[in-house]
Amino acid sequence: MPERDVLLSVDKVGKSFDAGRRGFLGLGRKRHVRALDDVTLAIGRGEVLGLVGESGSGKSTLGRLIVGLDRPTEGRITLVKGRAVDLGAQMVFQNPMGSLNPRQRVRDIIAEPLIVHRVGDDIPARVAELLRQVGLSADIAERRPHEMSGGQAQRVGIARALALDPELIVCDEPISALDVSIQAQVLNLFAEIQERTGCSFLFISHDLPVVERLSHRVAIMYLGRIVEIAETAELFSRAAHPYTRALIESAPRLEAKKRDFRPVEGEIPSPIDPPKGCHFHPRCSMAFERCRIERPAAHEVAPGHLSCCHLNEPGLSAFASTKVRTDAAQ
Amino acid sequence: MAAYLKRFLARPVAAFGLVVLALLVLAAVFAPQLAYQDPYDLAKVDILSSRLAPGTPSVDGYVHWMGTDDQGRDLFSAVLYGLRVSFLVAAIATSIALVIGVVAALAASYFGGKVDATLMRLADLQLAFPSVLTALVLVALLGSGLEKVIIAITAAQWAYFARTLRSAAVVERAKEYIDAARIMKFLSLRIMFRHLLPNSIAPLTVVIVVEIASAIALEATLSFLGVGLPITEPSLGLLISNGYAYMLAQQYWLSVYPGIVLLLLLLSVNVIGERMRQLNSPWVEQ
Amino acid sequence: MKQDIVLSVEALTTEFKTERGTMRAVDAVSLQVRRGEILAIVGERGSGKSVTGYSIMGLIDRPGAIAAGRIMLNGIDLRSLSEEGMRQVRGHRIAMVFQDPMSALHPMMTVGAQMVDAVLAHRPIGRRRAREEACQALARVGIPSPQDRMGAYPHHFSGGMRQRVSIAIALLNKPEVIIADEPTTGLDVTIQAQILHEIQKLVAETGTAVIWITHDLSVVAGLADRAVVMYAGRVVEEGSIAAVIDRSAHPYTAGLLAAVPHRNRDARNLPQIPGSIGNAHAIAGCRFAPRCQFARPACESRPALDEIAPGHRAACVIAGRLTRQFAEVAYA
Repeated sequence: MPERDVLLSVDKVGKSFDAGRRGFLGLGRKRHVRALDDVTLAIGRGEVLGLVGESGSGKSTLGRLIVGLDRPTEGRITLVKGRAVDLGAQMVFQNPMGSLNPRQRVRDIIAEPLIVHRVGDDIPARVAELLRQVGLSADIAERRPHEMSGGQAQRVGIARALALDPELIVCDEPISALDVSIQAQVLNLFAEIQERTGCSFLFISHDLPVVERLSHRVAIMYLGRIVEIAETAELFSRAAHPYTRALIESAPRLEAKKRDFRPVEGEIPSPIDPPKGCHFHPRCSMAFERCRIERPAAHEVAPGHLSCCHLNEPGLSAFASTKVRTDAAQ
Repeated sequence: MAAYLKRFLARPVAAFGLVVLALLVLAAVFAPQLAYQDPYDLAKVDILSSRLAPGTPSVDGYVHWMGTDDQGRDLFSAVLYGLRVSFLVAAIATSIALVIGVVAALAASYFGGKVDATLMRLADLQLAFPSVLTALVLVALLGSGLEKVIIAITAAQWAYFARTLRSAAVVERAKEYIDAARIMKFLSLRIMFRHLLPNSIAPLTVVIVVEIASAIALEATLSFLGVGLPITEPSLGLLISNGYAYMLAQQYWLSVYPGIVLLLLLLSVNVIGERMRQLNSPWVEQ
Repeated sequence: MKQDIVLSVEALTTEFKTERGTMRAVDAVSLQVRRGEILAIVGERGSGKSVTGYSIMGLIDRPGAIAAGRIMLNGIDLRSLSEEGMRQVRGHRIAMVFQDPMSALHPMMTVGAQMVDAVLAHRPIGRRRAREEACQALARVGIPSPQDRMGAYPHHFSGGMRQRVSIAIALLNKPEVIIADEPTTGLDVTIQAQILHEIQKLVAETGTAVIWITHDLSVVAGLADRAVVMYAGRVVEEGSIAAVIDRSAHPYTAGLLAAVPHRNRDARNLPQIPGSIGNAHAIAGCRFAPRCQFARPACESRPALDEIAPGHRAACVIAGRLTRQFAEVAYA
């Protein structure tokens, strides 16, 4: 594993939202949504970290905290100060049309951050350069968002994120809203940009194959906590946490035709009233008494591979080393 | 713009309203040229010519085709100048109310939380009272006169603008392009005026037109009740009020002609506003 | 076997009148589905897959209308039915599951009340029996404590649960065909797996035919028996899952498969289909030609849907000569 300088450091971050009060006349107990609970991770320079989770996992909330749209309730987020104009991390959004001002032309959308922060001398040239980098022809510059396709709009969003030359770009489900054939185009673009600029990415997605393709390391989140984190190949072949394994096995695969879906039981719990102890224990086929009481610590099951399950404790290592059962054709 | 106008004019009533309003605006603008005499010029007003019926020639041979009022002023001239006053007061008051409402709405929708709650409670408080009542109370407290009337009308109107714009702005505020602007550390003012406002202003255009009509009516009401503009500035409301006493004496023209002009004015503005609202609602048959 | 065919759509054409002329959202589409079979209709936006489903259900309203074709449900042409006749078929012999269960369920009625309504609208068996059947249906789709849940409102359920309720409602009157329009899009992966598992179980138990409309090829691979691939309103390929996925014969299908990330773990660049759908509906010839690497003059006339192997058809002039490997290399 290449040693990288740490660029972003998320340190024991927690985030709670107000959820109103229950009870008569609103005088009951105050309720909170615990969106993030004691999250710690780091992203290195030039690294792509994939962040995977389902609803309620807190992955989007973490992304928003990192770009500064909101502040953590506990803990700290530190981004190493880098180049000249430093405005922290930038973001690429899920909904390409919604992330662009409907009344602005493309050239203004991309030029605005440059103008506001007085970057560079020749702004039109920089705008043209950015458009070229994301694979758009120059005539797109005069269009408005509704005159473009979803794929083109997303490229404009990427160009805008790149405009200020950021150290880190947070991508929140950037290709989920695009057609399948367009997804591949934009995914290729991300890979290309990452290689060329050396920018770090936090790639948030629920789509495992996509994350597997693009990321150096992957972190899995469940109900506000990180349950496992490892290098991509390691995670997908030797996942150590029951939830990760369930996630990988639940995902449909092209090779597995007419398969027998053996899904994990139960619903994703509400973040207002999460299960005690390990969040996943009500749905876990291997849960035992301790899981109900005690929150698992992070165990290093292999170099650089952390997993938060009681079964990962040294001594129970037989579990961690078994390969994930990839479902062949029935 | 041209396309909008074309759709607007598709309905004959709306086209008619637009024409009538255009004529009234022109009449007000060119009042000095069109009027026979300046009604403020006391030297020219001859008390001997008072209450002449329409069509009666006056002492100096001019035919007052709308008659004269109780002061001897040519009613037609008075009406033209009255139109001016109506437009002026409505325009100034609505503009100030618009500025206040827009600033309040943008701040409320952008900052949310306590700012939103406070400003909108203030607006709700304002909206709870009928405009006439608010205006009357303010005029009673501040006294009558042009500035006071404008203040009163402004106070009665700003909340409509604030509420309407806030509703639309709150929807835009939740969209990702506002988040994008915040992430890029744009100033709040920039985000509010360059991103939030242009995308939420559409419903406001209809409200502006309707509120202009409302302002005209409100000013006329205040003047009719005698607490609006001074006697020396003949607003339409004042003319109607002064002439009211003579209705029983069958000298109808003193009230009725200003009344008809006021009616045409309000109708045309309302018709235009209604058509704009129709165009703004694509789910309604156009 | 021919006698097993439950639903047969023949040359279905659905048009929409717009300001810019008439748009053929579905252009001479034919498909069949057998008893106990899951047929997938695969396509992206603009493919006409959803419109096909709605056309079969008779749910196309102005400015759209079915212009041509026959929809044979066990011998009856659905197009020949009056509105009343179609209303009796809908929800009884053919049922639909929609993508967004929140808008498909009445927000102000309890789930139990909606299900009882659905039963009584087609079979006058009395309220008590209807409630029993509703309760059983909820249990069958895996909803815990169905008796209590009958009295709950849709917003009390999570997304996955709501979708199960929709499936339960679809099953109430034991339809011969269920049309499911993107029912798991937007659901979490683990929840999707649960729903797919339920569907498989139900098809095996009841023999209902299912038409599953989706853009997700991986789901199709795991769930369906046969697949129909649509592009810009036309069928471009159809066949068994193994045929369509492992031996795809149409450049669009090959491109779609190649674009799925998982298959190309080692390839440096993910093969991609260039361009976008654009104005394909206006093209008289092959509608995929503008984006196709293999386009040639012959593509200016509309290619016929030819049988290239038993049960496997593709609408392309070079169909059959195209193998998946060839497509991957060509698209790189």
